Amino acid sequence: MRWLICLIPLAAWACGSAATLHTEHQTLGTLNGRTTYAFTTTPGLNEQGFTTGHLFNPIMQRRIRDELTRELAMRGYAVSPAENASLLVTFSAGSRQDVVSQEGQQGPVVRGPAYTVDRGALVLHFIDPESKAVLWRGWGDGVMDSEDDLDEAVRAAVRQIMESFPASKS
Amino acid sequence: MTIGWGLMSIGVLGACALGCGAPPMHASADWERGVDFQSDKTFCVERSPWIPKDLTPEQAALLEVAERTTKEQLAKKGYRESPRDQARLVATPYFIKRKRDDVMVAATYCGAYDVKVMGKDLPAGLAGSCEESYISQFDEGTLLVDLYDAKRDQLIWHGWTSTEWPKQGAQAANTPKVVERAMIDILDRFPP
Repeated sequence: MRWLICLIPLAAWACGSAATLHTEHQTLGTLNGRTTYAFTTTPGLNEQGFTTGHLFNPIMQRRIRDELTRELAMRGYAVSPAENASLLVTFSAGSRQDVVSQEGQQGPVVRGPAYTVDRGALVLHFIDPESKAVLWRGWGDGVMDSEDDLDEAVRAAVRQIMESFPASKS
Repeated sequence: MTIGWGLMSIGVLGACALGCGAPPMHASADWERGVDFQSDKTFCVERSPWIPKDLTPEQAALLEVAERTTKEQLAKKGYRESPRDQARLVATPYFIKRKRDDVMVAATYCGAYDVKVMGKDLPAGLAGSCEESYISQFDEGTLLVDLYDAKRDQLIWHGWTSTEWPKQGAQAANTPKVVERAMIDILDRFPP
């Protein structure tokens, strides 16, 4: 779980710059010989303080599924019924509010200026259909801005996480 | 420097006393790209499945404000209220509540405290060296409006805005106006 603690402070605040996404992935099993996939249920996100909220609604879920379908097709994977799929794909997303202070101080009173940011996270899981073991897991998180185009931001997040996902080898 | 910040604080407070009938809000929206929101401009308003069954009388009254304002705003945009089986859009306003952190940055000068700014709008470079930040929690209320495509039974538009959950007393008495203003702000974003 080393990658779980590798979250890096992201976009500079108050300068209107586009949010930067920090991504990690973890390969936990072999993907060789797997060429088909099916989407499965989308659980809520509940780790590292991230929780699933109203933004992870059906619009968002369809958007993530659509972008994943595109990315997987580019890598030679074909969608199939769940009973025949060699991979099950699931994803979850959530947000949390962070207080950013100098040197990461915590508590009700901290030295120096502090401010709050909202951070969003997206997690992708690729699962072996038989054992239900996670074979590949990708994570992306970044600071969210209320003016962000969610469609653009989330599709970009999917693409960036999937950059590390291998092409199908049959 | 102290005087300058003091004047700024007074200016902000003064402006709020004059113009801040409601806490500041910023509405946002997300929607299914590619959907034509202009065709068949008919709608109905329904009770959201996210609304708790056991509403207090005050909550029920606020929900009525939200539903009425939704109807008014959609009508202003040329959408016509229709029976459920003839409506293309189903609008469902609702609200949620959650805990949030708030930060107040204060500067110390010769032992005196001069409150400089609330929240995160002060660029870090402007902050002096003798500062402390006070972090407190508050209840945030979020008003949301979901618009479903009735035929496809799919969510196609989702708008929301958040502000501090009203406390008892004068703030609570002003809540219907805040809800009305919030619904107008949210539906200003519709159609995208």
